[in-house]
Amino acid sequence: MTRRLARAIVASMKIGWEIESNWTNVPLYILYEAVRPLSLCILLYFLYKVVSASPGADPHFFAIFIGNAFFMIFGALASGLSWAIISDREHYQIIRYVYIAPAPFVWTVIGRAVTLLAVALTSVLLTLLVGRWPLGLPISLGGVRWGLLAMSLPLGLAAACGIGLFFAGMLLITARHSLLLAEGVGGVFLLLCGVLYPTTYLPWWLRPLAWLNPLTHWVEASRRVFGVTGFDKPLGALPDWELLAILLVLTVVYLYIGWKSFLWFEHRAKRAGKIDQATNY
Amino acid sequence: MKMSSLLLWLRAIKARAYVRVIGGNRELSWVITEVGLPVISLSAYIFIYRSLGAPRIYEGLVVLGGAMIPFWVGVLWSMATQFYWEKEMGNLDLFMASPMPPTALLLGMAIGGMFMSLMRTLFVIVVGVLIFHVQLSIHQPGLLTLVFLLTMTSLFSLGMAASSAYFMVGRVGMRLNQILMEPIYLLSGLYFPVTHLGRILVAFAALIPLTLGLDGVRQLVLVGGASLGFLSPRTEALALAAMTTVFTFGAVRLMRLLEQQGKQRGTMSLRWQ
Repeated sequence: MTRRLARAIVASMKIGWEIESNWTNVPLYILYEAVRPLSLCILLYFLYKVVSASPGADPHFFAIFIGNAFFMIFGALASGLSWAIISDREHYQIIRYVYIAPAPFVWTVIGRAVTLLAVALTSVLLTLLVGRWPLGLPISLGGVRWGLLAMSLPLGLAAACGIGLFFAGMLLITARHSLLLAEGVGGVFLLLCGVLYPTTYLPWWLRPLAWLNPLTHWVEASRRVFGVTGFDKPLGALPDWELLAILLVLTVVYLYIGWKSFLWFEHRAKRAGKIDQATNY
Repeated sequence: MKMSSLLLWLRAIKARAYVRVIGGNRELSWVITEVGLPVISLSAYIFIYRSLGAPRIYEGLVVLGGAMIPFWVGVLWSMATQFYWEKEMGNLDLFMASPMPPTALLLGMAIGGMFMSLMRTLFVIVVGVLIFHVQLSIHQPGLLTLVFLLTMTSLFSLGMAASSAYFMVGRVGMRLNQILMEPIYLLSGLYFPVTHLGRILVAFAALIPLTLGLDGVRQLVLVGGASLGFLSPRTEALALAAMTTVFTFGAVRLMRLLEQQGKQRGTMSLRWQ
């Protein structure tokens, strides 16, 4: 069983890679994938110039840059997974063949997610390099807290997968909102997760939503990995172990909800005959 | 042009625009999602300025930038990429086989697209004024209308030119479209004054109609907006008029050229390319 699942995931990763990248060569594709996150990070640099002539030397901007760089992984995963469902169902109309393959459908979706995560991590690396040299941010290998990174990154990726699964599942029963969901989900979470500003700047009624979101804690942990502390006062007050413990609990909860929701949406889609329904939209 | 040809041309424009004007706004839930999600992203940028303690004018700058997003998204996804979707669905061959001129099809798409985007833009502005209390003050309404209309015509003629590419290409064009979102947000100064880009970059950015149009609109609508401007709105209107002319003629020529090339190479009806 485990071997069959592993094979399904590997096959799905390969298919995902081919679908995403075989229109060009690998270096160009990696650069292509990095253009969007890089543009947003540089956009923040120019935006920050409103209050500081030299954003590269400002620790507040450094915190925003790091938060945004890591948050981009979620953006890439959420929109990538959604696009995978849309393109398989609507454009290439192959979802029924993927669906009747021996491996459970959810595992093939997870395989696609792994490919997207790998590409997104490469983009983060490129973004950090741009932050280090052209923008002059204090990023150095010696300054990275590798232990914290090793613990927080897998949890953050798992949480992102859980949320991505939820929205990918939702797209199985949605037609006309597919594209909007694919592109808009990242924006909603960007607003909520304290990526660009401390969560205390959110209206009071939105703050609990931010604090109950694993991505908020992951972004905070990612900042600490690069030595940035005190950006978000309530989160900054937590010691590392407590932050990681909250991240772990929330990740497990979100992963569980994402998994169960996907299966539920899949069931609904089958019942309603929507699993391979091309809407021509 | 004969009377019957003109009538055919106008009917084709009306038919293609109808889908967007009526169909695009028929489903309420669709409209709500389409206008709601961009407003949420825009709110994030307003909160950044608030957290930085920036003057209130920058929030107005974000709202106007956000208000122009539907037009750029419309140009990219409802104009430039439209022939890609049509090709994938098998409609492009039917369009080309019909008696209507392809330019009328493009014009209908542009007019319908502008209307569709305008609805979303108005909603963003209403949200900006009512929720974020952005202060707008229209002085020189004539010049503002001119700058806005020229921005629209230059943007959508650019979209018309880009759409012809799909007679030749498939996924490559689509991918190019995808990376023209955020880099253009950056270069057109959607969330910050474009002058922050520095002389070299801003000179390059000025070749994008959205940059000049947005800069002109901000100067004419925001209280104190002139202090953040790049060129005077009159100069920007002249540049946009020149762009409209070049892009429109370019679009018509490119359409004819690539349509012929697509037919010769068999790429016009090639799906999943």
